[in-house]
Amino acid sequence: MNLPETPTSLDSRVKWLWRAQSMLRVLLFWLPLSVAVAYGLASLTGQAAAVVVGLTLLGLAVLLALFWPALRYQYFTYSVREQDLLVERGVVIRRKSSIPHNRIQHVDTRQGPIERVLGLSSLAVYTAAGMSADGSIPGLATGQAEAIRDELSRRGGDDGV
Amino acid sequence: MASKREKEWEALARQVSEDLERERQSQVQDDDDEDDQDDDTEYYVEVPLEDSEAMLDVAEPVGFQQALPPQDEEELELDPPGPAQDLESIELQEPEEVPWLRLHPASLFVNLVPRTWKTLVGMWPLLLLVVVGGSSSEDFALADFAWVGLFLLSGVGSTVVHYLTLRYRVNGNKLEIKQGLLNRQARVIDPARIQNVGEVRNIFHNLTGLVEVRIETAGDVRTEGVLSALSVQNANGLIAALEAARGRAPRVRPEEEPEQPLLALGLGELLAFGLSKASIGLVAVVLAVGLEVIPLFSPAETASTLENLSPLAVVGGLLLTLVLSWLGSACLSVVRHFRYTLRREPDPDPRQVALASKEGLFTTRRMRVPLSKVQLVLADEPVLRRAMGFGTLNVETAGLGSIQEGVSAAELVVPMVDREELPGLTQVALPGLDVNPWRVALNPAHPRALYRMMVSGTLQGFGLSVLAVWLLPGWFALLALGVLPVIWLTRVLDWRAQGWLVTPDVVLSRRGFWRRRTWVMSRDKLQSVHLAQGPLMRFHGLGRLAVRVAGSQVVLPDIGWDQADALLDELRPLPVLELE
Repeated sequence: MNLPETPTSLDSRVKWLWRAQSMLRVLLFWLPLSVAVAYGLASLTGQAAAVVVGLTLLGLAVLLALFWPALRYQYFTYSVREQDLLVERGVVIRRKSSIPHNRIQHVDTRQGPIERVLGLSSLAVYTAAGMSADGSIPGLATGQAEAIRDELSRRGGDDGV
Repeated sequence: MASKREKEWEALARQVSEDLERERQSQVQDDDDEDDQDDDTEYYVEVPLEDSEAMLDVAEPVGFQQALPPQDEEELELDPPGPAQDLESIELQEPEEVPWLRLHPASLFVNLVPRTWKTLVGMWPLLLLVVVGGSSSEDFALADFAWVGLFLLSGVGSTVVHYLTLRYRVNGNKLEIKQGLLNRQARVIDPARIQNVGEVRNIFHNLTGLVEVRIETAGDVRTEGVLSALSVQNANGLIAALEAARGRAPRVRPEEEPEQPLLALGLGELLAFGLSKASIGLVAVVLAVGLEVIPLFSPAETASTLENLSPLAVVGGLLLTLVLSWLGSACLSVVRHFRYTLRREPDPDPRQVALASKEGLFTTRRMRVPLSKVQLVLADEPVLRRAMGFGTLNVETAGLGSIQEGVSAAELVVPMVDREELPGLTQVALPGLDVNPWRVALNPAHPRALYRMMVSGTLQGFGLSVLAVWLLPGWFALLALGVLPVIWLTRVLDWRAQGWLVTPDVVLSRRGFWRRRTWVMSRDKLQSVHLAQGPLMRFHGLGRLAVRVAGSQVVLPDIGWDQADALLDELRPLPVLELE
């Protein structure tokens, strides 16, 4: 498998991974919060208004959970260039990280339960600066993730500390 | 997963009990193949991934002979290290069992107060509950004393357990430390990864003539190994053994100080240092805590006092607190940095040339930082200190400091450096430095960055003004009028102070007018480069570039996105040059 030398998007299945994760968050966090807000408001503003506020909050959370992953996917690219691993991401705050190959100490791939179902893996890159969140790539096809991991570990150099 | 963990735990427990048994018998152990294999498998229990990986790079664990001087304590009963063997026989034999060493018995006394204090601090929510919750009933005193007594006892207990269970040794080129009764820990530290070895003496160490040895490695938040307390002889032995494990001749540590210090600070300079510190934050904390706690004890009195308080008294009280905390912080600085000296320790091995500081009135601290481990130098020049003609230099290494000591533990701090000497001292810490950071012309921040700062400053100032009008009584509210101009002026000054430069050897960044800070980072330490752009920055076409090194980072002032993007591609660690 050849490695992408120009900015490349993640595996498109990652959108489903992110949607699933966001929906979980809606269920575990936003749903209880909306109910709590509505309940708290009921005594102040009357029931009708409270229900509207609660439903709006929940609706927004669900909408974001459904549509944000597509945006996130659109702005997430990575490339294994000659000298570094380049990761670009972020919808609101754009981030671009360059991790030189010879500073990579350790690369590993991991797979959560949802990722396993979708056949995806995420890649985590470690340097001596500690685990760098900007250097991790979620949602790669498992084979691709492993190919990149092996290639990056092969190129890794001194820690420069 | 659980069974694996259990197995590890069992193996560890077995190992520890075996070792205890061995020590009690004080017998010479025969080379036992099985036993040594156990050593190799069991000790990787708590090692972080990166460490275990690095360990693979270490040379084969040949029968390394520890160059420890004879011990004066009970360790003396253990068999002394055997005579040096020639290489061939070493490679054939399994490593000889290196005896485990323990803390000095007097460390019980040394650790008692600090450890008890730590236990108390760790349980503060419980203590608070006891103090606040129990105050209603009459048996308050008795029950509470019992609780406090219990906490104190647990502190004593933890000290005793720590002393009884901690063992360390340098074995097979690695430092091994194990401790704990219920929660056992075994740690293996590869000497090649050690960033700093610090010796600390607090007042208890001084009384007993012992020393605490701290070992910091890269990439981990806690101090990896804290050995408190060892006799000076054992400490020197350990340091020598660590040096030897790194394949270096033991450093000769002459009793008398080797050469003239680079810098020695007198009382006056230290006082000036303390007084020029920004201590407003401390005042805020003291006030906040005071305001929270006082009403707890006497709510009624507090309320009536507050009602009768005139605004003048409030302002006066604030000023008084400010001055007192200012003086207090100055005294603390004097105590902490008392008799500060900084030396450059030469060494035949260029990678071992180091900066060493010594300071402290009650707690004597020695820091030694090999220059090859210096990640970046930060010059801190708050406006007052700058006016006095001084600056502070922080020499940062990759050890991230320990939880107890905060991040500053990983830095060698030079409190007061004459402005004229700042460039020279920076050059000493970063021998690769190719410019004078205080003379060279820096690239300015992007003009649009000023615009952004003004907008955000105006918003903040507006908020502050509203708050001032709302909170301040009567004529004091007029102060609100002054807020915005002051903020605007500050922003302009801040923007003018900003600057950056990338040379073949260093990355340089300067920010701040009230507190001017200059970061000088050696480019061969670079770990990764990150560029960020929020929505407003996108509107202005700006980007913020951060260059990370192990344990720290340098953030450049906001510059144009295209320029930042080009820098992202350009900044690469230089190929490591072999030192001649």
